[in-house]
Amino acid sequence: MPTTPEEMRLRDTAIGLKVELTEANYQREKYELANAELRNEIQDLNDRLWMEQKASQQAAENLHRTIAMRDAEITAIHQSHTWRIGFFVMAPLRWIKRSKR
Amino acid sequence: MSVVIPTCGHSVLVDGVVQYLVLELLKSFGAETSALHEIIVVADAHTPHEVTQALSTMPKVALENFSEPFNFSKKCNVGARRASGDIIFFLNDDMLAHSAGWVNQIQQQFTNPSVGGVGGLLLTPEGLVQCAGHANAPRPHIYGVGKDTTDPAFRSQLMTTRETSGLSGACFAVRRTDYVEVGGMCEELPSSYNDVDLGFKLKETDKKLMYVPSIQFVHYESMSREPTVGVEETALIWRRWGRYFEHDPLVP
Repeated sequence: MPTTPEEMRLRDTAIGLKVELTEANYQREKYELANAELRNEIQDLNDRLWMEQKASQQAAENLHRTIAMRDAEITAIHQSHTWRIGFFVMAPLRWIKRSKR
Repeated sequence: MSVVIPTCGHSVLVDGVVQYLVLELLKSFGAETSALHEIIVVADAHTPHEVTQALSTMPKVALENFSEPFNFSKKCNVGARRASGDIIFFLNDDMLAHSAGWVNQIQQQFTNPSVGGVGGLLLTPEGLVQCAGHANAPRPHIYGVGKDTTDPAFRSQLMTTRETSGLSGACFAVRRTDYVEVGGMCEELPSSYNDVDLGFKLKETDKKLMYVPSIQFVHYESMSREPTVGVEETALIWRRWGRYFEHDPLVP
């Protein structure tokens, strides 16, 4: 065999370095892909969080608005004539009840 | 075809009689020896004198001395450089030939130029599978360990000649030119994964590895040394070939 031990080792080293480089590139690409996927996922989650926050803020505002409206309606009822008339209409009934005791 | 056998002359006691593994292996070749070009035994410095003496009297056997610290890959490379056959067949010394016609079957496989490596079925002394090629996902490992070749559930996958992801270094035939081209076995993998690495290097040159189950050897696995896997060896094999350990398309 016309090959010295040194030549054999050099051939092995050359092939070894070449395939190590290929392997390193492959792993780098794999990790870059995984990183990109992870980044996309994080972005997705951020978007969803922002939308949820926005929706929840809107719901809170709507609720406040509804409460304020109901509050105004109740106040209006309390202050209305209907309530006063009712009070006087019910006065004799209250008197009858009290006198029966 | 040249057979290369790295050895350190280990022996076992059978019925109180010392039997040297490498000598038993050579005896088990039987008539196949005549079809071989040569048998190169790469022997450590501490190989018993009886063994080296017996080897020197055996036909076609050439002895190559190896005086460095244990390095399986280096021993194989030393043997390969000495070999002059067109095909080099690496065999561990703790094996016994279990089938006839293996020389012819190996040569037959190499008539296909796209074949880069050939290996056979390795059996335990009990007759179960010790190695039926390698599988590489999720990490390189021996395929078929402990299975029974007569079991109908496994018979087709174990007893069919097929392309495989890797071959055991205990029984690995390769063209001499291909072996030189890929730089032989990586000497930075002295103990483990050198066969996995060699297989991948051959595949890098667009060659296939073939598992041929009609080539059968009994393998007394790790009888001649402790089965250890170095951290550096694991790191190196992943650094070189990690991308192939994600998915193995050749597992039957």
